[in-house]
Amino acid sequence: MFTTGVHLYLNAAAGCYVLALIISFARIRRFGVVMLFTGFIIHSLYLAGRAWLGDVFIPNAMFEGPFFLPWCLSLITLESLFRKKDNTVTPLLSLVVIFTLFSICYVKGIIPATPKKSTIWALLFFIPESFAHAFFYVGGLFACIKVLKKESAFDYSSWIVWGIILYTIAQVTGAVWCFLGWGNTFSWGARHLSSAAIWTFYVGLLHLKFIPVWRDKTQRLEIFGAIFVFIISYGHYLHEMRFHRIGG
Amino acid sequence: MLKKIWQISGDIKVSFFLLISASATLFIGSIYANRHFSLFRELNRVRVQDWLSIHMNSKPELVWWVPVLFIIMGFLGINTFICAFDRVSRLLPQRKLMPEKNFFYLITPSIIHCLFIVIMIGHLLTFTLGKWETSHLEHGLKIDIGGKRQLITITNIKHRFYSENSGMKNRISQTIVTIKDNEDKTIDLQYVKPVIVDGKYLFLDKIKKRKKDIKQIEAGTINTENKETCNKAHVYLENKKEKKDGKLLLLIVSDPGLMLIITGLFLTLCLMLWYFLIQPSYRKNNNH
Repeated sequence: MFTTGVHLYLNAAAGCYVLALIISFARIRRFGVVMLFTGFIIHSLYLAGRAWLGDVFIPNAMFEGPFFLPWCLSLITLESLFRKKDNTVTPLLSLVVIFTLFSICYVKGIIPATPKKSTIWALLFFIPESFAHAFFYVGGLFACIKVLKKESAFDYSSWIVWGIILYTIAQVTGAVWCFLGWGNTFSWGARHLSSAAIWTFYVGLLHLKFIPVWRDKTQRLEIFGAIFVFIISYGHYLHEMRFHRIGG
Repeated sequence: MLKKIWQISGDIKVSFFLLISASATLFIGSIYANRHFSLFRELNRVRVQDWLSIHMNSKPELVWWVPVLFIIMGFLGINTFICAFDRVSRLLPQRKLMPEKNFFYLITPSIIHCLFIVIMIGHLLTFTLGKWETSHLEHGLKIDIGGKRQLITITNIKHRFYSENSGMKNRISQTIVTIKDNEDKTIDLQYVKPVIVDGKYLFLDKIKKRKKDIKQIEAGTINTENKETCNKAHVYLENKKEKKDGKLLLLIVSDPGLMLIITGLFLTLCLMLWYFLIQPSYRKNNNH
């Protein structure tokens, strides 16, 4: 594909996101939408190109966390614009820009896919996992804004519910994939244990709304949750930077 | 007194505390599992009680969190059961006072809680009663897997590789192992496509270690901790220059908890989707 291995597309997408963020401060809506949408399309093309980094089509490369997460955030921002929740766009764009800039610094090659990873179940795990992370970050950011500015427009709880639903989907598909590939529905490895740690944390958070006296703690725990997800997921991404890669 | 214990055990504050404790323990465990990959990987192939009986004495500073996790999950199971029981006993008498859909909406969280207990029981059965056996795979080899069709023969092993012109050259894309059981029935075994023979799951697996490492492991002189990572891309690289010895393995699994776990997980997911996504829109439409 014409975008395969051409990192200029990722840089261009990042440029569009940065411009959209600057424009969002100036509140020129239409130009901001155009910039964000352009960035999203270029980013999508770059992700599609990653699938051919090994000269054969390997879809897993499109959904590698560091590259796919900012795309998910960008899609969430577009959805917010579409729903005319304009006050949420600047904070969302800040997240898009931060995570896209990280992906620019990240190693671009792909970890060669093993036969155990070349299955639809791997994709059914990675896609909802990245989307869930994106929702947790958005929820954490909005909770942070609510704590600092006391603005009620930043409703973070619905983002968390979406995150939990998607993360549960990832847990189910991950368990199936783990069994089909390795003969265990739960693997005693760092990846699976930390994933379960995130799930139990957010399920605990979901129960907080039924404890009225502790409800005011939800916002702070939500911020902590986003930091927790960041430490775990980016800890893994940094660890995986050491792995042998091809292409890119 | 008993009533008080029952009330405290089923308190939602206790649920929250237990869930956060479980999360913290799992996170601490992930740090240990990352630093001592080989040690904790063993837990995927042996029963937890057998593994603990060995390592609780020799490496208590590394494995202490495993029994702690089991204790927390045990308490969480009790707490979930009491919560669900209390809620269902409160809701059941009101069943005829409201439309069926509303009743089902209200009772859904309790059903999810019951399914969570089922999933945990499934995991407990897997960890304590599961059986994982590995055997080397070679052409013509006869392997005893137990059961009616106990003796299987490896009749063919075929590797498929990625294109020679690609960056993935010399890498295995799939391996097909043809097996014949003692009733002369032929089965193809592939990666991520296990087969069931007499209630046992047969998986294809592969390992690769340097010959020097294998000799050292057999002699018990190598420290396997910190040497490996979860990245196994090199295992499927068949390069003549490679100094490592790749071996195909047959993994035979008996997992008494599998059906409980998979069924529980899928039902939980369906109910969560219905509760959070479908039902609110139904309620919204009805209100309008």
